[in-house]
Amino acid sequence: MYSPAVQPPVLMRSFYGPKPKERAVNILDMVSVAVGDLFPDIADRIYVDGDDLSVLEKATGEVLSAVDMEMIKPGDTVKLLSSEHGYSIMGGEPYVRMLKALKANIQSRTGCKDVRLMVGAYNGFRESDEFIAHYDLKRRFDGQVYRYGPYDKDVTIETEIGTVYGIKKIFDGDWFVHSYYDDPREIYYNRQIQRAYKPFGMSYVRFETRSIYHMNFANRSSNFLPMAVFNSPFIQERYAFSCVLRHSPAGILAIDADRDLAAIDKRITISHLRKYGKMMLLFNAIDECIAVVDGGRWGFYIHAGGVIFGVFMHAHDDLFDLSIPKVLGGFKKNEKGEVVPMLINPAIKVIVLNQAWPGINYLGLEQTPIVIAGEDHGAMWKADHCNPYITEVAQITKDLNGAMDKAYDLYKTDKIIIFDGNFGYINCSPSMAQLLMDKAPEVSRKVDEELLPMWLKQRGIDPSEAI
Amino acid sequence: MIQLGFLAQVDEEKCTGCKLCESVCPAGAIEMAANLAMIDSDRCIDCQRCIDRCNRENAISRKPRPSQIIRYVDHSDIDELKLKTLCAKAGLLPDMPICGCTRTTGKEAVAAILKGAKTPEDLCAITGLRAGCGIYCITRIFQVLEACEVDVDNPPDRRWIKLTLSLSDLPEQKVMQIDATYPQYCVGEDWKRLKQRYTHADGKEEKHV
Repeated sequence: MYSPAVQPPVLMRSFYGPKPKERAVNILDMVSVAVGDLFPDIADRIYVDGDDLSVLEKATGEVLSAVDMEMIKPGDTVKLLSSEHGYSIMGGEPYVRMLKALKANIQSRTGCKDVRLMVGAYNGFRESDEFIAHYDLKRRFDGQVYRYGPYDKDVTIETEIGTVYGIKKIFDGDWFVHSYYDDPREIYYNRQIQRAYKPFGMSYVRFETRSIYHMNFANRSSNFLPMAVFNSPFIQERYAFSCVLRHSPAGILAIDADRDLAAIDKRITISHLRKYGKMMLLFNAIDECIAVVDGGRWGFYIHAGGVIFGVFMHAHDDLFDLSIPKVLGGFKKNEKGEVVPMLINPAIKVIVLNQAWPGINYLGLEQTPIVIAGEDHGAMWKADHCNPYITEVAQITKDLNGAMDKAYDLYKTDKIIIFDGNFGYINCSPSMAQLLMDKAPEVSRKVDEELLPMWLKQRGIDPSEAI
Repeated sequence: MIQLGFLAQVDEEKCTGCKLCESVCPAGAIEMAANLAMIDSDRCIDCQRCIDRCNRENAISRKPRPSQIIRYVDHSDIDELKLKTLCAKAGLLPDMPICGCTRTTGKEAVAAILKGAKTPEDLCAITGLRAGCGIYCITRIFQVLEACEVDVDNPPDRRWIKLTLSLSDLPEQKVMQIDATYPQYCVGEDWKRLKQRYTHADGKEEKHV
C-alpha cells in the first residue's frame, strides 16, 4: 500500500561522529510517506534530494537579477558568510550550489574578483576543514575559501542593547553577504521569531555572545539579540544583501535574495507557519513511537519530512504559540523536589541511535529509554561530556537489529519513525504511515482555520496577507 | 559534577610547541615547558578541546586515568543563605544547573569560588564546567565570579572575553520601547519574569524566586 522507504542523503565521514554505516532503512522493513500525500497543499518545491541540482544555480541567478549590487566595486573584498548547518541539509550540496552561483553572479555583475567563501563551524576546530575537503570547496571557489569559528579573534559590536563580540575575520572585508538557509531547526528556541537573523546571534559571533543569546535572555526575547546585532552600525556599514536557501517540509522551496532582510524574514515566517505548522502538529498527533535517529551529524539536527529530531523531542508543545513562555532550555522541580530538565515529548517511548554525533547537549533526553546501536558508536557517546546523563541510562547493542529488539522489549509498539535526513518523505513503519495519513486531514484543517491565524497575529502579520 | 576516566596526553615526539592547545584549554591545564605542551592532570577535565585543536600534528590524545575521579565541590559546609544570596546576586537559582552538560548548579559554582577558585579556569578545573560543549555556560561563569566580587581581566590572547549582558540589564524604558515596536519578542513579559528572580546581596531569602 505504501511506497518503499526512500534512500536518505549520503553521509559525510567526520572526526566528530561514528564511521558511517548501513542506513536504518536498508536494515529495517520500512515504508515511506510523501509530504505531498499527507498535505497536498504544501507539496510545492523546486528540489528534493536526488533531483537535478542545476535548478538551484539557475534559481539563484534569477533571483539575484533583482538585487542591487551597486555598492560592490571591482577592487572590493566581498565575504560570503556561510553557516555550518547548511552543509548538512540534504547532503549539503544544495547549499554549496547556491553559494557557488552567488559568487559567480557577484563577480559577473560587479567585476569584483575577490569574493571569498567563509565556512563557519558550530564548535570543533576541524569542522570547516572537513566541509572544505568533502565538497572540494578550494577548487570550486578558486582557492578563495576560509574557515571561521566561535573561538576566532573577536571584534567589538556596539548594539542598541549593549556590547557584544563578533568574529573579526568575517567582517573585515568591504562587504559581506548573509548567505544563509531557513531550515527552521531550533523552533523550540527560536520560536519562529525573526529566523532569518539568527546567525547574528550565533554563527557570526564569538562563543561568549552565543552564550548570552542562549542563557541570558528568555526563550522568546532572546531572538531580539540577533536583530540588534544586525541593525548595529558596524554590521550595516558592511552588509551588502542576503541570499537564502528556502525550505519547506517537502524540500527546497526557492532561493530568496534581497537587501531587505526584514522582507525575506516575513516571507519565511508566513511560509514556515503554514507549512511547518502542519508537519509539527502532525508530529504532535503521534501517540506513541520508537524514534530511530540515523544520520551523519548531531542527532538533534537530523530530519524526517524536513523536521529535525530536536523539534520532534518538543512536539508535545505548540512551539509556534508565543503565549507559551518557554518550551525548552529549562529545568523544573519534579515531585521529589529535584531540579530536572523539562520533559521531552512523552510520545517518544524509546530512542534508538543507529548513527548520530554526540558533542551537543540533548537536554532532557535521559528521561527516555535510549538504545545505542554498535559498540564503537556507544563508546563514542560514553566519552562525551556533553551528555553524561544519557550514557548513564543508555543501553548499547551490537547492531541496529539488536537495538530494535531491545527497544521493543522496552515498549511494545510497531509505530516506528526514522530521522535520517530526508525532506519530502518520512520513512517509517506501515502502522506509523497509517497513523500519519489518518491524522493529516484534521491537522490540516486545524492549522488553516484555527492556529495559523493566531500564530500570524502573534507576529504582527495580518492573516489576510498570508492566507 | 563530572566523572573523569581519561585525561589528555602529549606525544613529545610530535609536539612542536605551537601553543595552540594552551589557549583553548578551559581549565588552564596546559603549560609550555621546554617548547613542549605539558598537561596538569589535576586540572585536566577531559574536554578534548586540545585534541581537536591539534589537528595538524595530532600530538595529543586521551589516556585512561589510573582511577576514575569526580570533579565536584561539596557545599554542605557553607551557610545555605550565603549561597542563595550570592546566587541571587548572580541572577541564578541555587539549585538550577548553570550548564546543561555537566549540570553544575549555581550554588556549587559559588561554593567553588568561596573555596578558592579565582579565575574561569579555576572554576572549570574544580567543577568540570566547560568539559562538555564549552560554549553556553561561559557567561554563567562570569556572572558567578562577579557576584562573588572576584575581578577578572580579559587575557591578552582573548581566549575568553568577560560578557554578562542580560535581558534584565536593560532599563525599563528600553524594554517598553522594544515591546511597543516588536511585540512578538515578548520582551516586556520575559524581562519581568527574569527581574523577579533578581535580588540584591542583602535581600531577604523569601524574595528569591
